[in-house]
Amino acid sequence: MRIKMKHRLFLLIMLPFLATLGFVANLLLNKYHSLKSIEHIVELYQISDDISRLIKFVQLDKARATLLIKEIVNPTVFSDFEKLDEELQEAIGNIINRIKNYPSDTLIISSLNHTLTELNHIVEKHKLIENKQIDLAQISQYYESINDQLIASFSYIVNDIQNIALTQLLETTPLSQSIFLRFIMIHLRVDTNFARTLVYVTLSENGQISTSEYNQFIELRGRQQAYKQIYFEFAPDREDELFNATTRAPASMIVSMESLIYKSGPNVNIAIDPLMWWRNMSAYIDSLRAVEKQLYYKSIEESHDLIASIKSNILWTIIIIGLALGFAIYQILRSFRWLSNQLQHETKILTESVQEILVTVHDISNTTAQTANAINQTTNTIEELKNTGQDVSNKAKNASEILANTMDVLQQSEHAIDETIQGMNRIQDDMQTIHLAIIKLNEHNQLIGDIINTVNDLAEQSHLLAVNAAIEATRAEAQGKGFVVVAQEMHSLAEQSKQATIQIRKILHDIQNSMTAAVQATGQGAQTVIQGAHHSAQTNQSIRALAQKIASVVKAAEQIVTSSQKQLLGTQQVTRAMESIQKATDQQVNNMHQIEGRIANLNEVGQTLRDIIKEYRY
Amino acid sequence: MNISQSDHFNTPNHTNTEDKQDQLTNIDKIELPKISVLVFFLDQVAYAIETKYIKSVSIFTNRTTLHKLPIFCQGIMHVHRKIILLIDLKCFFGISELNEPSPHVIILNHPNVGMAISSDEIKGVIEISYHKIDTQPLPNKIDKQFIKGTGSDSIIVLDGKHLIEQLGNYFICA
Repeated sequence: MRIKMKHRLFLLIMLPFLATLGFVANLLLNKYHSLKSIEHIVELYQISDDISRLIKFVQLDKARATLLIKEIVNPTVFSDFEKLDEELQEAIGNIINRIKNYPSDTLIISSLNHTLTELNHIVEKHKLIENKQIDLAQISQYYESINDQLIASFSYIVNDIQNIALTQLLETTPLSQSIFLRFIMIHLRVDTNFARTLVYVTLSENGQISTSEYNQFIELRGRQQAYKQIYFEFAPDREDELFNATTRAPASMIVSMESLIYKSGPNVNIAIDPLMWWRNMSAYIDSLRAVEKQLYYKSIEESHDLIASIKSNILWTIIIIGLALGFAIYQILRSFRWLSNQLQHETKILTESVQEILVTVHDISNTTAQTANAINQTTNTIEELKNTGQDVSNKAKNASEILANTMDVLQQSEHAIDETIQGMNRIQDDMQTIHLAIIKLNEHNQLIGDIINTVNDLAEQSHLLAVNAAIEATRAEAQGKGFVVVAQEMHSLAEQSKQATIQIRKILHDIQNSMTAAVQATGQGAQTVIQGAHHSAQTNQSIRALAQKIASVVKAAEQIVTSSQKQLLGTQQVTRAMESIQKATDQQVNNMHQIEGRIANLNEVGQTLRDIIKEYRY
Repeated sequence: MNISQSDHFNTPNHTNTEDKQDQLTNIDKIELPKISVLVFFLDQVAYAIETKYIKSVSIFTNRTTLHKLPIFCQGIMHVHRKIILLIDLKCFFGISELNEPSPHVIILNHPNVGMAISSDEIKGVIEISYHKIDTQPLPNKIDKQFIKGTGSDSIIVLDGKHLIEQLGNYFICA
């Protein structure tokens, strides 16, 4: 009976010990697997952070690019951005549908719906911009507000996704100290490397965090702030109570927690209050240690008796140990199966989510590539614009030079016309001189006519004298015959003189006619010269007016040259801006490729995790 | 005072028929009598008057019109310190009204009255054969007693003696 009692006692002692051992082993295994899954989740967080940063970057660059392109007014590129909006809307709709499939917080769906409405609002605004109902100042203001709203909503979504992952993790896996520590670190935005080293240090020591390290960490992050945030998130009703309890009287709280643990046992509701659970667990483990120590000392006292009884009843002991081991192994295997199933389920969800994220990121990468392509096309168009502006500037310069040459020619023409007017004036003076000379000649001609008249009178008188002589000769009869001959000769001379005067008069008459014609011609010539001088003066005035107009045209051409040069400078600035946008977009494409690579790695990690879990499946 | 007729104007009185025949046969050899005439123009018509009835020719310088002169008298003028009556011959012949004085004057040889005929142009002194004067009456308004005949080149040869007598009668009566 004693042996039996011993055996029973042994069983009574060993079974909880063995069960504790099994529980601890189970816990260690859980820790290992959960640590692996947590590594992936941490990577997921990093990726989500990257995505959020990327989204911010995309939104900001999109706003800048849209503004720039709107200034350039290229409707095709702008329609590409409208496509981008639609794709973003589709992507967010897909995320909403995907999240609806999983049991999760409805806040995220509402926030996503809010984001979707924001995007619809953006699309409406884009339509307004396209219809030119908003000016550029409103557009810039509006895009700043869009950026803020989008950044806020996306950061909110990322936080919600992180919260969902954490709550899912808390619901599915048993919470360990390391998880809790990571949870705290993630929520307090602690550096992950620091957190990782801290976790590894604590795990390598005892598998739990010491109070001093915890206090050090809390001191590092700001004790009150951390406490307030933690308590506000997990126990808003008991915030002040727990704050006061943890900061001022930790010992009394541990005592109360121990009593709580003894009352409720290890099946405390860990999902509700992780801090409480951790406190409970640490208190529980401490109590277990105390019990273990007590039992250890008791076993040392009774070891001799026990060794003797073991020796005598080794077979029973082996059987009982085997049974106990078998029971413990059965329990372990059961827990393993449960853990494996849960992990498989979660890993499946995780892998699917990662694949969907991969697809989404691929889509975003394609969209970014399209954007880069559009920006490239825009850069080419601006380059063509720059070339055209250069051509315009060159042509304006040529036109200005030609106009300057024309101006010189006009000035020469003006000088020539001045000389022509002076020549006309000289001709007019000459014509006046000729006119005066002809008038004088006419006067001389009239004098000659008078002389001819006198000669004619003389001839007439001679003729009459000859006639009288002839009469006298006939009166003298025979004695006057010789005198008759003289009288006849005299008569013929007078007749010749008369004929000569008639001829001279005729010639003078012809000369007078010619002079009259010459006077008229000189008068007409003078008139023509006056008209020519008048026309030349008019031409000179016209040329001066033309020169003034051409001077104004030259000024306009010079202004065109300066304007085209300014335009060229502006186009060069736009080209530089587009080049910087292109660089940024290329960098963004590279970032997207890197993210795609990282998500592919995550997918591979998920596959590896699934393979690992498959190995534990039985 | 009568002006004595010239021998040239009277035909020779030959009674013997033989002499007549001799004269007829030698008519070409006989130097026929000629008269010296002054040819002048009035209205493009050539007139001639014997030089023995003409004192001289002169240029019309100035005239003085007087009352109670005959209707054909254009006025008076002085030539070589003598008063001379200026006669419009056409008006005297009754061909036309009284005309203005022409540039030339032909001073007639009248012993008592100084008179002159107004003429458009004085051609000169020529000699006309007496027998070549055609005595056929002319178809004009001029009184036949003032015309001797028509010479060569349709020159109207005036009867100077009769003309001067008639004109002298006018002025002596007046």
